[in-house]
Amino acid sequence: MAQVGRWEYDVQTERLYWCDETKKIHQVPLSYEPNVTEAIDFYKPGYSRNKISMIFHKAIHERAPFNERLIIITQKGEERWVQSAGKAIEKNGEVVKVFGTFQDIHEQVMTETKVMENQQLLTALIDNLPLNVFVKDLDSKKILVNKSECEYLEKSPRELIGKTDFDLYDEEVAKISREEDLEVIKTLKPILGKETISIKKNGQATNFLTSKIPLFDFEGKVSGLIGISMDISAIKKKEDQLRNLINLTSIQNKKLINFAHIVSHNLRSHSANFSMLLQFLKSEDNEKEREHIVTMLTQASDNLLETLENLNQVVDINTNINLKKEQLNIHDTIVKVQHSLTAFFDKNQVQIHNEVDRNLVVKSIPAYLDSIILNLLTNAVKYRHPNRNPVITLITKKLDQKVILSVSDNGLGIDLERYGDKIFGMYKTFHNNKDAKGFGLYLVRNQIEAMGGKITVNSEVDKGTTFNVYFNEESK
Amino acid sequence: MKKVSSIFIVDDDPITVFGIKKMLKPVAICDDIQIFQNGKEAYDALKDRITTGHELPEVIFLDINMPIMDGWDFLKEMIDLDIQERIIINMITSSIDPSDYQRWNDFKEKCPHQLNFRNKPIFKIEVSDLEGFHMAS
Repeated sequence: MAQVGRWEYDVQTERLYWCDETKKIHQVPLSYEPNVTEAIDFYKPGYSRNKISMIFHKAIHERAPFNERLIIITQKGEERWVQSAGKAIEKNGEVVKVFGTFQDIHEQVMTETKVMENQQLLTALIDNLPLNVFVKDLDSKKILVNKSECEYLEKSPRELIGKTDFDLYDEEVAKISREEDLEVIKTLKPILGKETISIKKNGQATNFLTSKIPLFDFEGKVSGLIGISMDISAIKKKEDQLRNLINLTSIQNKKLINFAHIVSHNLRSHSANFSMLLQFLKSEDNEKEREHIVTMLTQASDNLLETLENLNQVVDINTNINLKKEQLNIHDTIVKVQHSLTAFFDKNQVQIHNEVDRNLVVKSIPAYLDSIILNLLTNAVKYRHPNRNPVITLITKKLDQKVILSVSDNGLGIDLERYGDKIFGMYKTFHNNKDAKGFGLYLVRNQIEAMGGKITVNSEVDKGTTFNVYFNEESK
Repeated sequence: MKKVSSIFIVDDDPITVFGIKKMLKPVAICDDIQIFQNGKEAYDALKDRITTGHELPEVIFLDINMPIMDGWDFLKEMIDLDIQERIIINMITSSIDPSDYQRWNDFKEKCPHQLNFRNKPIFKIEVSDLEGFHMAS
């Protein structure tokens, strides 16, 4: 702390006295003899000089004491902050002297200015960071929030100070946050860049990358924590989209590999048959046996053709992803398919209960919906139980956004624990049935999946089977 | 020519069955060639022969992809039957899927029978396909 100088002014004689310290502050030699005009001229022109003239005058005439921070320009031309104070001294009701102190407070003012500048910088920095910043005390009450945090919570700083997460967020979220706070305060280890989800009272969810850093007081004791969170909802959303895309691609990839296997296997088995039969033909002399082999070759050729047609159908489904979906009435479509199969159903004495809501429509590709219903209906008859006439029930349900069409029969049923998902595989058949080619359900699955839906199956051996077709209503 | 008491052909493809039968003619004399369209039929017949004390097949031609019970499932069930005789099983498949070959290799280890793997097309059946490797006695 700088030393305090003194000065004294005699009103009567108009003499001004400075002590040595006061002179030192003015950077004048100790022999210097001041007068009021010169003394006032030491003050920096403008505010400081005007102010000192005024308050000095007031001290004499109105007896008003003063104490001001002002700037002087010393003899050596340095600008310095000083604290100048004065007080009138009366004798017999008249002001006889003005007595005062004079102190160099330049370093102090500079430090204060620096601190203020720093504080302002810090405040500006914190406020303008594109991050939510908050400081909490040991009870997890907010003691500082920045602009981003206020904007996110849609509240003023005043409304937020003193609040805990329980006042601002969903109960579960607040609980997790409080546990994090306690962990940081207890272990003094910061949490850095943790992915969190905040859900506000209004249900709005935001993904954050949150850091919580312990805050210490001057004695080094933990006094709370600093929180910084970055809104990563947009990135998160992108990430989800990307992940979905990757999933979709890998599913597609698997399907392609599977399909390639199917193609190579099926084509190979036909070509192997051709090779074998042709080899036989080459070395066969017996005319009757040659004819037999040729019949076999024709059959092999027909089989190959049929396989190629089947494969082509599947390729069509997986490549014509732009086929237009239309609003289709399920009930009417069932009636239409039923009509086209009248002879087949009559022959097998089939009972069909079409219990589908007459007004229900789904977005679907017409040819696919026909195919799906046709295959499921004919399957139910193909795998009928030998001891009873086929009864097929069609119903629809609505679950969330999705329409589910269920086709139930009273047929043979299938051991799903044993065959499981194979039931939708290509050329997989499970019953000793001449009509079974193992293609219908494979086709149906490809068609419904191409439309963004799915198909599931429930079955019990000797009781019957139910297929559930999920139409995806959300996608266009 | 080799005399074989009994042969099973397990395959759902009539052309392959025809081919195997035809290729057997010049190498084997057999009065008991049985055809089965899937593993289940063959397994049932095998079990039936065990209970009735009927002669078991010396050789089985086995397809992999078949309805109801495929070649692998048939092998699994057959191993569980704990048959004492060493049966020669020729797996005949058009599959060139390496995983099928790998499975064959795994089965060969735990199968007490002789397990051969033949890729289609097959043009000839050799007598060696009908004979086991006899252990030195």
